[in-house]
Amino acid sequence: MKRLSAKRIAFDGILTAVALVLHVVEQLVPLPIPVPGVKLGLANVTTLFAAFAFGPVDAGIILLVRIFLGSLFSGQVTGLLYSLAGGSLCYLVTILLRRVLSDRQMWFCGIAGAIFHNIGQIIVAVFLTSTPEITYYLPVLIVAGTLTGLFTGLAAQFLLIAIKERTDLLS
Amino acid sequence: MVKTRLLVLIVLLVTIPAIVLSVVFLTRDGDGSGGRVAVALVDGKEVWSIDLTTVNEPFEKTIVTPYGTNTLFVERDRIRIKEADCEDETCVKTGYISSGGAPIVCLPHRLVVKIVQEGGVDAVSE
Repeated sequence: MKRLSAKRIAFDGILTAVALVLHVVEQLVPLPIPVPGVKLGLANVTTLFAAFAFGPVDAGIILLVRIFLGSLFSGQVTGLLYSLAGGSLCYLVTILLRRVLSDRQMWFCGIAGAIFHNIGQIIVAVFLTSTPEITYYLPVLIVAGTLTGLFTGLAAQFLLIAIKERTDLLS
Repeated sequence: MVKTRLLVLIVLLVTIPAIVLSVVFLTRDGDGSGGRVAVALVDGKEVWSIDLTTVNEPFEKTIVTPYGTNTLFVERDRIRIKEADCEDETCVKTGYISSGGAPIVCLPHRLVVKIVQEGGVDAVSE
């Protein structure tokens, strides 16, 4: 799917819709962890999937549309800054790792992406509040990112492998 | 392609120190000496502060930021955020802080409540 085919545009549209649904669903599931910035990052499943299935361009478009429409849905401008910083760091790590990882190693991409997403958020938080003490939360956010990233990474991995093995949608 | 074994090793090398540091940072308590001053900052600027060692009766203090309102609950030697009109209420769930470790953070309201040792170096040298 190199060219900008109708199939690819349809796929990107569906993935963006899925990402937005996951983004909204996630806000309905509060995590009991009292640490600022910890979330499941479910929507990253779609970015990961798109990056491995189609490439950096599709993943980037899906991510940007999701972040802007997502913050429109939740109506928070501050949230947009955090999402952009976290999302773009996560994206960069994902497309770099994609070059050296196989489909069965996507879980690692999930972890690395989640950790860098959290690092991006911490940087914005320190900047916005001028409080360097917020970095005390970095280790917790790294541990949380490992767990949530493993979860989302494996979800994307199983999805991609299942679609490749059982359908010819991506061929 | 990279060996999966190497990836697992990287994850462990990053996560295990992070777990240790999490425990250290979040359970860290002050040395108990000197005054403990709680400071509330909005956008990095101090808006209110109190010496927690002088608090005899617990009381509430409302902090109004341009982004929303938080209610602090102040006790002797410790402080927490009791109420917040933000979406996630992470700051409320953080609970009490009593030392110079991790601060209470309300990201939507850009509010930070942290504790500093009064006198700093002087208090230590006395």
